[in-house]
Amino acid sequence: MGGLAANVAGRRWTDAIIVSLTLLLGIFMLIYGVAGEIRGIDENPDPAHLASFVPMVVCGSLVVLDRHRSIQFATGMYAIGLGLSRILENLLKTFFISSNLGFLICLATTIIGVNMVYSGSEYLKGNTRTIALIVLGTVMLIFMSLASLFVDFAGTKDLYAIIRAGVSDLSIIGLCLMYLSLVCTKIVRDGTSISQFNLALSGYRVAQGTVSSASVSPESCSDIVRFCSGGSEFVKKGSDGGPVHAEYEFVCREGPFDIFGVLQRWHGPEGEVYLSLSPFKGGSSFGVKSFRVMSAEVRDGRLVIDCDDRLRKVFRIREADEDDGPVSSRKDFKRGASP
Amino acid sequence: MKVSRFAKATAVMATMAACGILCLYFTVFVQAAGLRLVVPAVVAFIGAAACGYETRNSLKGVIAAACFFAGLFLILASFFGYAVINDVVLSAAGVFTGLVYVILGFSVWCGYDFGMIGIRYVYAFFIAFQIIGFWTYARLIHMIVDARLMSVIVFTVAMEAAILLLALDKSLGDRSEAAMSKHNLRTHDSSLANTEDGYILRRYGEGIQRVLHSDGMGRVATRMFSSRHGDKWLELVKDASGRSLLTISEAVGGSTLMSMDVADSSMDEGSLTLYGSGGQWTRLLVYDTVQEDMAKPKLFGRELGRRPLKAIEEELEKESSVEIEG
Repeated sequence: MGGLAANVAGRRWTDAIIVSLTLLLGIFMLIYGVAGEIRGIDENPDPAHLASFVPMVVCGSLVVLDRHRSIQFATGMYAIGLGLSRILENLLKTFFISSNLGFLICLATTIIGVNMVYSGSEYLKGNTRTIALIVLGTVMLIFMSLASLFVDFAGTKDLYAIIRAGVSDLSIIGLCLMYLSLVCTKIVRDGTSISQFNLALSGYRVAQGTVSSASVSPESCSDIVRFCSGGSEFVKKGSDGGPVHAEYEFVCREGPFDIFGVLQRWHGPEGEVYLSLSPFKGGSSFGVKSFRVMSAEVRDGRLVIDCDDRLRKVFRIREADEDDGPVSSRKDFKRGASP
Repeated sequence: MKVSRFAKATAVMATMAACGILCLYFTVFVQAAGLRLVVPAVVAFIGAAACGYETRNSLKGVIAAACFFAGLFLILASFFGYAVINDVVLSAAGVFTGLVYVILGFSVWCGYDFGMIGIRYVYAFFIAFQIIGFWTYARLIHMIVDARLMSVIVFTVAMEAAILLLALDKSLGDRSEAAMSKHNLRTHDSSLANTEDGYILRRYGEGIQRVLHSDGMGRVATRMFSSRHGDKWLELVKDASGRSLLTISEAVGGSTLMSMDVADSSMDEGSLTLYGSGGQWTRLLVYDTVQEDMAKPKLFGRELGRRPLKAIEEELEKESSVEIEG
């Protein structure tokens, strides 16, 4: 199956990006923790303040040491490290701080920290909480850090003094932004309950061959028609022992999703043609439900594949400018050609 | 430590009765409270008795009764106990919380099963909110917390915590609708449709081909690995009539997820495809060795939450088999 090689090649790229992202994250956490610790010893030897950097050092080390560069582990550790450091920094202050505004800020930051630790522990289990809540909590933390910067340095015009004294808040803002970029990655987004349901249900539906409002490109449409009428260019090269004589893979699109179809002709050039659909390309497939194709033709501007038992699969033929790409007002614009 | 259902139910009854006793205490020893606090005390005792009665029926009944009477108690205690609480905001908060509890308890009593999930969420949220809310309120507005008020808060939160603990009992199902839906989807046989990364070891793939091409009977049993959907158990049996049947189960001796008659097969460097009749086919990825699970972290040479690969291979060797007769 030709799709496997492409799939593996695709994975290599995404893996490479994830490796660099998680490694960068771990190193950033380590630097933040160690630098904060050194700076804290020099300027503010308050035990709670010093302790607040320890989770970042520990979690950052674990992320760097992880040889698999698991993005879920890195995100979880990051959330736990950041959340714990916020709790350690602020929890004790809530008991001793005299200002009411300071008390409220510390309390809110502690609650956000607890929320982050909970999110992190869920990540480690492979479950992602609703992204909107995570983003909201993180934005709140950024806001708190900005507010703290503003309260401390209102009226100060010396940028160097602001950066030097507010480096901790600025680092937190940087860390939060990195965290936001991580939770928006596909791997983490696909971990939410809704995404998992969607994945499972769409996989089930597609495997059952239920497609509605699916569309194919004009090129795929003509290939499918030619395959079903016995086109010789699809014959498999080299026998692997199976019954498949000819094979053609195509992609159809339903809304934002790609559906991968396979047409196979079994037992020689006059054999029967089968159509199967899958939510992914390549990989393993079990008990694939194939439909015996009786004919495929274009009727009323649609590709109609008639299968046995009076089953019919209808695909809209997509216009060229429906595909994402350079935007053109010309109807006959084709990909690759200059408009 | 495992806490029994009976112990949890007893804790609910005890805390509810304690709340009633507290109301009686205020009635007797705090003149300002007056006799009105007898009303919530009576409700608390009736609630404890109702919970005790419901233990004869079901845990769900106990929770419904506890939730309903705890809510009623909170409403009445907040309403009639103003002299003790001495704060209109806290009284109003108590009435509101009590109303929510009454509705939740009533919904479960009327048979709305997912009300149980509401009880879990609402109680967890309200307990956290009450602790943080009272703390903030005392700190910002009252500055000094009255001992009587504190005792009311402690007893109420203890009762709510006991109800929450009871509601979290595993016998009442999954912890959320989402978890329940996930379980349903996972156990549905069609879940295999999404198993993109299922693989077996090459030697067992070759074993399958040998059994299929042999003239006699044969059987191949091995584990099919999948990081994303959990490992499954795969068996291919060829009987005396020459019929070859592929089955995939949840585990050895577990429910069968799919079965397929196998007529032919082909194997390339990355996959084994088994062909049935009428266009049906199954494709499995094949690898030489057990693959690392890249979703799991690997620290100090070991994948967290997974046994060492060597141990998995050894176990696989013991449980898998390729048998060919004739």
